[in-house]
Amino acid sequence: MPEVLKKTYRFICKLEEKAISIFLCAMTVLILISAIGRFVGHPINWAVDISLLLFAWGAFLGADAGIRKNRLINVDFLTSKMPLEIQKTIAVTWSVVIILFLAVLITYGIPLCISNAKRQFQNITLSYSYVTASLPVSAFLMIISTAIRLYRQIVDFPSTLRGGGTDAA
Amino acid sequence: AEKPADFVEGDGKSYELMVSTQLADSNPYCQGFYALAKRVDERTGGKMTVKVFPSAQLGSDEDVIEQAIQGVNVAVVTDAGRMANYVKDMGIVGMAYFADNYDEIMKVQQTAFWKECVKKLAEENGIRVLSFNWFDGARHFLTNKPVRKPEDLNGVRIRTPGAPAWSRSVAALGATPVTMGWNDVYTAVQQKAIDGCEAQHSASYGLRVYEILKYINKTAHFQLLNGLIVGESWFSTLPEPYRDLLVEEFEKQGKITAAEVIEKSDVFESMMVKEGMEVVEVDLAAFKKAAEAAYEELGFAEQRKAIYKEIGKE
Amino acid sequence: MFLLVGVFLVLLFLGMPVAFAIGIAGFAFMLATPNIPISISVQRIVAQTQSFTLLAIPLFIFAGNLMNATGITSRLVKLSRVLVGHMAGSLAQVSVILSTLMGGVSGSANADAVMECRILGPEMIKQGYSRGYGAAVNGLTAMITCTIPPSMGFIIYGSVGEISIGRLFVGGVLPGFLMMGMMMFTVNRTAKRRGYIPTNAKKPSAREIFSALKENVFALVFPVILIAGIRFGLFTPSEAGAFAAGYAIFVGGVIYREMSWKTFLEAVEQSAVDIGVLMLILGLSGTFGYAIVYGRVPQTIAEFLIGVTSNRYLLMSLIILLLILAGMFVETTVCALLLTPVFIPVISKLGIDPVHFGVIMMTTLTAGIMTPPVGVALYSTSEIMGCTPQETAREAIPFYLTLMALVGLMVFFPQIVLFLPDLVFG
Ligand code: NA
Ligand code: NA
Repeated sequence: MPEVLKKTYRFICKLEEKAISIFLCAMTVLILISAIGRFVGHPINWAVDISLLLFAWGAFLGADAGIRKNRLINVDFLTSKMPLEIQKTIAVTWSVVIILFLAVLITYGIPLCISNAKRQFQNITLSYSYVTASLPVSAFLMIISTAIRLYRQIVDFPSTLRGGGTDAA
Repeated sequence: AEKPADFVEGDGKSYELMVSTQLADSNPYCQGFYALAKRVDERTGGKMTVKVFPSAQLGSDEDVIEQAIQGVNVAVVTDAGRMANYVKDMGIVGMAYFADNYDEIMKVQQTAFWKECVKKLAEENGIRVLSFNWFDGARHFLTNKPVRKPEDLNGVRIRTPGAPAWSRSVAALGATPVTMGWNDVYTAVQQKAIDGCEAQHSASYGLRVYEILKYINKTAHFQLLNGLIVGESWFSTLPEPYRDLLVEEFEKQGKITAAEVIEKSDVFESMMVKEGMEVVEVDLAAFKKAAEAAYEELGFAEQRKAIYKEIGKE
Repeated sequence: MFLLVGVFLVLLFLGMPVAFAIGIAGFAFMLATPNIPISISVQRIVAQTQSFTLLAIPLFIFAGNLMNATGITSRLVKLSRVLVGHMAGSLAQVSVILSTLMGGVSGSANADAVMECRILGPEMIKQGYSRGYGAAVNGLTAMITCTIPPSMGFIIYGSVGEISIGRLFVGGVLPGFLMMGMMMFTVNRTAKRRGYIPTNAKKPSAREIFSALKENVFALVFPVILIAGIRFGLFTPSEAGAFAAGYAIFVGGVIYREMSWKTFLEAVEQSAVDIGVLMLILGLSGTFGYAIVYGRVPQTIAEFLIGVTSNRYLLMSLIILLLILAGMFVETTVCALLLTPVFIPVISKLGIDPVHFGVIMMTTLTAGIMTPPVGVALYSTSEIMGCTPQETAREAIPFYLTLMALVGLMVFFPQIVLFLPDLVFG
């Protein structure tokens, strides 16, 4: 990979991690404020909507960070008994399947964003598309993370198994 | 088996419609859907099946409306407030004191205004109205202190659905609107997170509000009208006789269920009184006057005048 | 239906990450059903994040990580040592007490099991405990942590089944303490037979206990604040996580002064990834859940179960057996997501209180994290203690039996679960 691309990607990853952290803190603060507000008789009804918007983005971007840090759980009591060569084939196949699945989510997610532009949040004039968009955008990042993992699985197989993994970034 | 007299011939293929609602299985609406499903089944020789999915099993109303638009074979119980996201004018039907009773709403549905809205839903948004005559009763404020005039609601935190038509109306009537799921209301009141709610009798009784709230303040501020909608893209795959059949049956059942609800409403009220609630008669004129602010705020004032003129009200 | 479950099991057992196994299985069902457009799979995945009740999950995960950064954990370890250091197998007893105390601030059994292996494990090995025994004790006593409120499992069960999370939280209190007592008994029996000695020479004095308690007062009062806050309407259970996080920041930053900006940021980043990994499972299960509803699976299974027997005890036993099996093979969160909507209609028909059932169901399912062949905590505790999962599972047998005895007690005496919620919420 050219150095520029690598640098850009690392920057995006940093940005992603910062964003998730900010979203999480903002969610916490918003919910605190809205609960207190309601208790004293001044409910802030939009706080919940914004928290849910942040939740969608935080959850899926966080999932991408999880993939990159090799944190996804899988069941290996059957596969771990197979010869390494077969294990490798299976792992590579799954990565390809996951990439295809994510690509489908993007392909159908973008039109859904456009078509549900008219759908509104409960309490604020904000299109629901901003929520829906969290999935295709994150799926795109997940494809990159999975592709990097796929590359490692091909060139350096056993290290990608559980426990031996390293941060993809 | 012998075909019934009103048998409807399709194109030989089988079709299935799912009906989705947030309401529980025991609600009169669901019972109505089951009755409708049985008739449709008989009248098509089993070629058209209607399955009922209560308690939001397929997702929130907004989600299922989106599913319908995208082409899923699903019908959704919705209200005019939600449809206002698609055709803004429809929101007026969900405003406080827009209509005084069910018959009046039915009159509104005969107006050119309403027919234009329904047409816009279908042509510009892919939403087909099967019938918009389902009625769940009048909504009243339920609280722990008596409410007789709008000022009595000052600072009182009242749960209401989120759409602007509802929450602005409730605010105009004097209360502080709080949005939360209907199922959270019981614990929220018990835990004093809110001071009350506004709901129709069937829902109030179903949630056992009589265990936590004392007064039924008979404001009758909303007439809870519902419609059944499907997606245009699925609807257009049906043979024409089946399309007509669905519209006919949903219209018919809507009327039957509305009559049942109106009758049962009084029964629910007396049962809640028996459980210890007190009915409070309110200063209706004062509430109607207070509601004006919401019409002004949402820009519905002129339109209401036009509709009233057409149905000959005031 | 067969397509759905078939694809899921094949992907799962051939090592596909759990989240994607479940998502792709649901997607395959949608693909095979002409009336469901593919875009709906996107909607269902996104919709999973739009539930106000589920918001409690990221917030409690965040709060848990913050609590660790405050120094609450190390203080609780000290308190546990003072309290039970004089008993036979004292380190194992410390593990029981620590899990109970941690229960009030943490909602995850997994996190507790791992944390206790790291903290108590090395010393257990030094004192001659078998590695498998250490892993088993730390892993299985962690079930106490997720029974005492707050509890991640109850949040999932409550939000999927629309059952009051407040009642579930309070419902877990007595079973949690009962579990503590029963675990202490089992530790006592097993440790004595093996000759595991106490670390402290004599019983603690009242003075020692008092000063250790005083140091821990902020952790000890937290669950009480939590329940009181829910009960008196300061916050709903969904909002309680935000309060927990705020409380942790207050205690760590202002009272103990152990949390720095750096440890705070670490806790935030750690939480973000923890949440992402869990939410990917929850999100992708949206396609699967929709397929189940569309295919009317809950109704079919409910009718089948009720057809088998209408005796509530027999049916409960049958369901518990199914839950044990499911918990052995499938991850706890996934089980809870998929099985809650299946079983709630069944138990409601039998007149069983859903809070009562929820505590039984989540206790049974959560134990699955420590059972072979698939158990996240079984693998992680064994890895940390340096033994094979088989060893751990063998040493865990008395503790499995203890848990089953507790589940049996809860089945026959619903008041163990329901007494406190009825008292608190009426
Ligand atoms: Na422990
Ligand atoms: Na806990």
